[in-house]
Amino acid sequence: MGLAAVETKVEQCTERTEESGPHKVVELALERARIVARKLEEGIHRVIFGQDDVVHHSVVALLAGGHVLLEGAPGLGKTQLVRTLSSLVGGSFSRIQFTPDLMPSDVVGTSLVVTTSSGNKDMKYRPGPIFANLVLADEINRATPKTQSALLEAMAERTVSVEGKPRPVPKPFFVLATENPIEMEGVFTLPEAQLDRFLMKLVLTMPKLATLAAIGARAEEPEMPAAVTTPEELLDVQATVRSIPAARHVELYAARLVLATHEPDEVRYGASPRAAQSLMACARVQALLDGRAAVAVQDIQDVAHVVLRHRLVLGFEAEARGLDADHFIDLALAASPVE
Amino acid sequence: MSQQRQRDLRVVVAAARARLARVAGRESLRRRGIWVVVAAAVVGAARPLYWPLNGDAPLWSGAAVALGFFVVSAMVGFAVLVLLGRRARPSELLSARAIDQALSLREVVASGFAFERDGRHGVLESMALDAAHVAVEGFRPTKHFALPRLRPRPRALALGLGLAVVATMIGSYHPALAAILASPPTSDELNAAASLEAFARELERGRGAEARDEREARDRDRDGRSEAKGSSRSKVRSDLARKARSAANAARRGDRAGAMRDLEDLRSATRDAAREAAALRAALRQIASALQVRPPSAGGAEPSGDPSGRGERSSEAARDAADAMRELARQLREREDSEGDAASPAQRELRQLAEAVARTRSLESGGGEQRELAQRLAEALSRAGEALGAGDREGAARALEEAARRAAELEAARAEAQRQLEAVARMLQAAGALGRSMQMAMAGAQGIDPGDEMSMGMAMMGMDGEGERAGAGAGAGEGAGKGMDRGALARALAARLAAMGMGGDPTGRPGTGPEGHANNWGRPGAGIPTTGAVRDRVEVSEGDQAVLAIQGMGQNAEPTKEYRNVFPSYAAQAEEAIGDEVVPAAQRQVVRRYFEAIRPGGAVQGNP
Repeated sequence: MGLAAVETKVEQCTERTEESGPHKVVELALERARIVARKLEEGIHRVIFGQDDVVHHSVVALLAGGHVLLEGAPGLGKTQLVRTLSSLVGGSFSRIQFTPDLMPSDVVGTSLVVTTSSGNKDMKYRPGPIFANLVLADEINRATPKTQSALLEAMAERTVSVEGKPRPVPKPFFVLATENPIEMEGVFTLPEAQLDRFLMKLVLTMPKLATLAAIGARAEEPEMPAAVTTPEELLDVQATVRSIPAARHVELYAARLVLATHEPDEVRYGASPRAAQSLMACARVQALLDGRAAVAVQDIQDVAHVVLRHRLVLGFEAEARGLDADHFIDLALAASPVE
Repeated sequence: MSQQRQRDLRVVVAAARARLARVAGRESLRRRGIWVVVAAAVVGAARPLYWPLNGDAPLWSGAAVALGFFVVSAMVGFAVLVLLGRRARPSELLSARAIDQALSLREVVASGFAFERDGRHGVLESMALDAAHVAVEGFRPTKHFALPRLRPRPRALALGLGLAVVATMIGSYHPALAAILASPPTSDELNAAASLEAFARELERGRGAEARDEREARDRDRDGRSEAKGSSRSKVRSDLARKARSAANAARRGDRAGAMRDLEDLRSATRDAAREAAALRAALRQIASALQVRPPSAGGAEPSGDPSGRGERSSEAARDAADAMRELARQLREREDSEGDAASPAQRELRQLAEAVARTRSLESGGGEQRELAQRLAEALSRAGEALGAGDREGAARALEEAARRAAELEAARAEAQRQLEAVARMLQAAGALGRSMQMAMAGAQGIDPGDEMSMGMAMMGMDGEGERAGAGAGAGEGAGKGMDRGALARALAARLAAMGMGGDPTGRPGTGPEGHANNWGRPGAGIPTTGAVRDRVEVSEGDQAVLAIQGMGQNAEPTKEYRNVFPSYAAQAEEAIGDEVVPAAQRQVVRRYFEAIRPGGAVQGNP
């Protein structure tokens, strides 16, 4: 069943709710959300070769309404991924190249003195690049903490305050920030509190041989795909995702998992309560994409690494032993009983 | 969703949970079963600690009990494992998750079950419940949750069997086993045990014959007196035979300590029976004396050093009592014929009867059989006295005749006891032989040099001679009692002989010296190979033999051990022997002088 057909059916069912019943409406809504997600993934894969997990989780984050921190070496397709995604969503897109001299006003916008038609001078707000449906914050760790904070505040509050006046960002609002782990000179590590604002952190790895060969064989820049959805539909899908229920034991499992990240001595700070919300949000999308009407424990386990990875602050002992956050997430998964 | 469908989901989950409980129980058994086997092996092997066997228990009983404990412990352990495994069964939710896992689903059933359990009935929750119900349709726990196989692997099976064997071997420990392994029963011990058992059987055969006689007597005498008498005698015989068999069995098993205890019990029981018989004989003699028809036999109640003819005198005393009563009855009848001169004789006869009654009353302190007969005799004598006091001489004569019959019955009982004691005395002889052979074996096990063994065997031979004499004598009752007491004396002498290093036959049988000993306890031509004056023939009576022999053997003999070192081993026995009143009074001073003489620092130390 195509998306158009689903939409038609949804409309019909919505008009004749008494006849079809709420079950049918919800079923169709879930089906429409699944189709949108599938089309987004398919569209990205037309441009991006490989990186299946990154692509999948990017779509999950998009449907969950969260932001993504992409980490990877240059040339792995981070920017291309965001551009493709924005093309598929069909909303506004902006890119912010973070540099050390980038100012907060360069991100959120500023008021300029302009001459009115009557010849008077007046202050007029000029929105920054943050005001877009999809924002690519490229090399976010190159900017100063002050500038980073401006972006991260907007990500969390979905509102920008300029000259004392709150200005909401457009909906849907989806930020993909990239950071380059190679360069250590002249970078400003993101504060842990601000890292928590990202729903997940995706790590792009070097593609395999076959994938790399396919990339190299491509002679021209790929054409951006046409939009498969609209921002409005994306908001509906996000609303549908949020309605997916989770049993009590699943919610408890997510809580236990978050608490378990605090157990190891090598972990200086474990995951925050916001991590539990993020886990559940991503797990809902996972359940939706799997065709289920309820969240499972396995859904949480599937997204645990990408959701918790950037939220753990490791101690010196862990770094000395060469242990990363994924190691402790594995420990937490193993130590968390379902019931 | 209808309530029926909800119930179906719960039923399926409950069935899956029950099945998973069985799986968990079996899995627990499969994974921890070997530890239960190990624990059971420990329990079986520790059997000697918490379930010690008696010394007379069969040797195989330890292994059987240990194996039994092993099996029972293993069974209990397995049952506990299964129960613990079942108690650790998953919850309903986990059972629902297990169903999902079995069906390769992602918590479809678990989520539906959880929503239904928590009463969440939203649209999406209902959809999840529907999906759960669809998923469990056709689900069969028995098919999807296979029970683990309990058949052990060959290696585990071999290990379990090996543990069972080891536990049984360790748990089969028997108190006598170590003794047997360290010092197995000698052929002399086995022979002596067989001999003792044969005598015990003989004693029991006598009991069987006695039982037949009792039945016949019961047919004749319906008042049950014979039964009481026979039961008492049978009980004594049975008890003695049982103790003898117990001693023999213990000796065969190698349980020398147990055998020695049994032998001591046997001697003690025999001593009691002999004392009772001696008391009866003395009382009968006193009754006859009281009636003063005929003077009592020489010797009195005090036993003499020579036991020969004691039984004859005892029988004679009993006959005297009966005859005296009959004579008195005859005299009463004669006086009845000649009235007028009755006053003075009647008073004398009344005194005689009163004294006889008093003597008879003293018998009532004896055993059950004796007491009963003594009561009847006393009653008859009392009736005679009353009749005489009333001037009814004919009635007194009849009562005295009845008393004579009762006295005869008492004599019959005594004679039966006498025969019993003779059989017991023969058995005691075999018991003495067994005791000697065991002492020899123990001495060998303790590393005593052959010279000591021979000395001990020779010394024990002296005890044997006394016992034999005591059993064979006519006055077996008292003789046996004295024999036992002299046995203690003989033990003290044996220790003294060991200190002197005198040679002898290690088997305990009489030695075969160049000149046979002049006593009558050994075989013809047998004797003690001694030196000095003891080589001379010694014609002495019983009781003096050992003392004289020792006095002779001490002459010109060279001791092989330091005297001070061996004296304490027999000093206590010597004191005990001297202090016992059963030692003939005539011999006490001799024995006392002997021991005082040989005491370290005494007048004739080392050369008594």
